[in-house]
Parts: sequence; structure tokens; C-alpha cells
Amino acid sequence: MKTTLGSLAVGLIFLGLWQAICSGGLVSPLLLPSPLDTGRYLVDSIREGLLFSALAITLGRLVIGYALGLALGWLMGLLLSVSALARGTLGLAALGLQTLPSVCWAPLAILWFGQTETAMYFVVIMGSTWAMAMATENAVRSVPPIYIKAARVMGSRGGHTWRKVILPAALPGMLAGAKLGWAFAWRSLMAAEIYVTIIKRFGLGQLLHFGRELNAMDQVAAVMLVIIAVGLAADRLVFIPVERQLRRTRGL
Amino acid sequence: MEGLGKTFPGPKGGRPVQALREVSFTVAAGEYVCLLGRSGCGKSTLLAIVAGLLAPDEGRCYCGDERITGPDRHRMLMFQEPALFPWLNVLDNVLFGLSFVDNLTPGEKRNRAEHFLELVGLADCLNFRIHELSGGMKQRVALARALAPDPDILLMDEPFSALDAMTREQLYEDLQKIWQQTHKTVLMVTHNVREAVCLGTRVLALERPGRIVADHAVTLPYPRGMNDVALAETAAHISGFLRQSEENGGQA
Repeated sequence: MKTTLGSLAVGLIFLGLWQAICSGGLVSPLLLPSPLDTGRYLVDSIREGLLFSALAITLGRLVIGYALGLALGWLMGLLLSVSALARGTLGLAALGLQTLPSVCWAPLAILWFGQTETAMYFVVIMGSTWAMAMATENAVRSVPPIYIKAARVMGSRGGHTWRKVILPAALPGMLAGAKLGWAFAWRSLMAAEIYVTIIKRFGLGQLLHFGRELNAMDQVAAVMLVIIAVGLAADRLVFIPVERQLRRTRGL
Repeated sequence: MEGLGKTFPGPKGGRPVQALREVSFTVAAGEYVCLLGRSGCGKSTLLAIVAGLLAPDEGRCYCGDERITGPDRHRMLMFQEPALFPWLNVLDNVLFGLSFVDNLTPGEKRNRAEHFLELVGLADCLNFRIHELSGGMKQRVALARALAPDPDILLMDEPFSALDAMTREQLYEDLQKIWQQTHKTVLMVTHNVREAVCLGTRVLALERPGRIVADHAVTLPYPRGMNDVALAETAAHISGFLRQSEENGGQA
């Protein structure tokens, strides 16, 4: 309670300083919008429905692209974990591609798919899938061999061992990969939305992009705040509860 | 259970290290055989071969009339570590062992799992998580999991070596009771002479590289206490014999 109040107080002081700098005319409003202007933009765009529709469109893209990236990465990870040939070829490629910042896929995506939804999905998939693939491979390969031996002694074989032993044992590692993949997916989608200037179906990235084109700094700041809020919400509402549950059942 | 014979001329000769050389012995049904030997004498290798987790390079190993070619739930192996699955609770861990027992309804499997958990003294811990158990309790669950599918032979690989002395003595007591109730055929590996004499009906002493140097029947009545004079004398006798054969071996 005390810390909450403290945080609140510090936040208010920060906002007050920010407002004071803007009101005092120290900085041009073209460069730094005041918190009041930013708040006003947020309220207005919510009232017009613009913000929520952009948010919904962005989240829709994110869910589809991320799900495809996860599924593809998971399958590649399983393949990597069982095949040395795959590790020597696809594994090296995955390692290289993972280091490639996902925004670098945007020009290629636009040339291949044009200014389309597909181009954005492509960037999100390319951004998130490699992390998932490598985490899955690592998680499966580090399942303690004694679990597999114990299962075999009890009569478990092949598919049963995979379903009932290897995958559950690898779950924490795969979850870590999914979380990393999420972070990459979110960054990729923002890059893609800023690059792919689709005329209909505005997402948050496009709002940000057109905010810059229109020199609407309040819009730019407000959209950035929303993007931060989405990232925080995903962490707090999805990943942290799942991780906590996993820790509780397994005593990690 | 039918008469279970096991002839075992099963050497496992790795190139640099010869773990076992021309070992042959038979375990009769209902016997509790302890394989005694210092670390590295090949006793765990031998057990893994009987379990079917390792294939011998030379020789053959039979369970009943059937040649051992791979793991089978009729030959249950208990490891040095409990090797329980942390994503399942206590009851589900025992039920895992029953996955491959045919002709049982889910209700019967549950009853059987509960029966064996009661036998090892954990009737109150069915829904506990594995990380909530002490080391001794974990080995008890592992024992219940190994016994529940009613294997022809129970193989134990130093199952008590990771436990503290007091927990161990309690387990010796309980294990004797359980063994007297179930009359399972047991083949247990240990490096503790007293443990072997306390539990077994027969003690086989192994020497590097997997050579049987002694075969003692232990006729002391059950239940045996670790501190019984007769037990101590038998253990001292076997220890003395082992030391002597070690010295002879050194000269040869």
C-alpha cells in the first residue's frame, strides 16, 4: 500500500514537471506535447472509436501472426531436436535469422506481398518464429534422460513418451520461448505497421506513422503510451500468471 | 508368478572400459537378491541390462523363458533418484505406471494406485505435488509406482543412497514388511554391505570388472534390524571376505 502510494506520488510529480515544461513554453509543442494534450487526444480518439478500432485491428494481426509464428517455430524446434541434419542446416539458419532485426524483413515483405495484411503477418512470423524454434529445440533436448528411461521402463514408447513425458517436461522451456517470441512479435508488428501504409484498416502502427506525417505530436505520444500499455498488459495478464502457475505446480 | 530363472552370461565390453565380463547367475522367483560391490564394478550396468535399457555386447539375459531385448513393464526399475514426474501429482505419478496394464478399468487403476500408496505409507499424500515431498517420501512414491503394475521382478539401483541414515533405516523396515506381503522377486544393487544383509535373502558380491566373487545366502529371520548382532556379524563376515578377495585380486 505504501509503495503504491509512493509510486503514485512520483508519477504525479513526473506528470506535473512534464506539464510545467510544456506550459512554460520551454519546448515547442511540436516536439513535446503536454500530458494534457496527450490525454485529450486519448479521450477524443476513444470517443470517436478510432483508438479502439486501431487497437482491435492491431491485436487481431498480432494474434494471427504470433500464433502462426509459434506453431511454425514449435514444429521447427521439434524437428531440430530430433534431427542432427536439421540442426546442421536449419539450425544454423535459425541462429542467423534470429539475430536479424525483424524490421529488416519489411522491405522484402512489401516487395513480395505489396502493402497487404499478408506482408504484416509475414514480418511478425519471421520476427517471432526463430526464437520459438530455438527455445523448443533446447527445451526438448534438455529433458532429463532419467524421465525418459523411467517412462520406457514402465512401458511407454514413441508417441506416448512424447505426449506424456517429453512435451510436459519441456513445457517451461517452451513457454520461455513463447514469451520471447511474443516480445519479438510485438516489435515486428509495430515495424510492419509503420512500414506497410495500408489505407483501410488502420492499426496502432499506422496511427503512429500518420501522426508523424501530420506532425501531430500528441497523437504520436498517445499511441506510444498505448503500445507500452499493451506490452505491459500481455506480460501481467498472460505470461506472469501462466509462469506463476507452472512454478507453483512444479516447485521451480 | 511362475518360476523365474535368469541365466546371465552378460558381458558388456566397452572399448576402453570393460564393465562386465562373463557374469552368470540365476535369480529364482521370490528371491531378494542384493548385488554388492564398490562403485564402478559394473553393478548398475548389469541392472540396466536386465531392465533392457542397455544391450549386452556378449552373452544373453533371460527373464523366465523370454530373452530380454528391451525394457518391459514386467521388469520394473527403480533409480537412484526417484525420477518422478514433477508435472503430475503423487497419485498421477503412480497411475502413469499403470498406463500400460491392460484389463483394468480407470476405477480399478485408481484403487490399485491408492492401495500401493497406502502400502508405502502415503495414503494422505495422494494430491501432493512432487516438490512438496521429502527425499524419503519421493522414493516411497517411486516404490509404489514400481510395484503397482505388479511386475515379475523389481530392479532397484541403489534406491536409498541419496537418503539420510534415519530415513533409510525407516525405509528398510517398511520395505521388509512390503516385501513380506508381496513376495516380489527383487534384484537390488547397493554398495552398503549392511543394507544388503538387512534386506536380501541372498547377497552376490561383484568385483571389477563385473566378476562375481561371493554368493551368500542370508538366512536370518525377518524382520531384521540394522543393529541386530547376527546381522552385524554376517555383514562383517562378508566385508572381510570382500577385503580379502580384493587383496588377492591386487596380487594377481
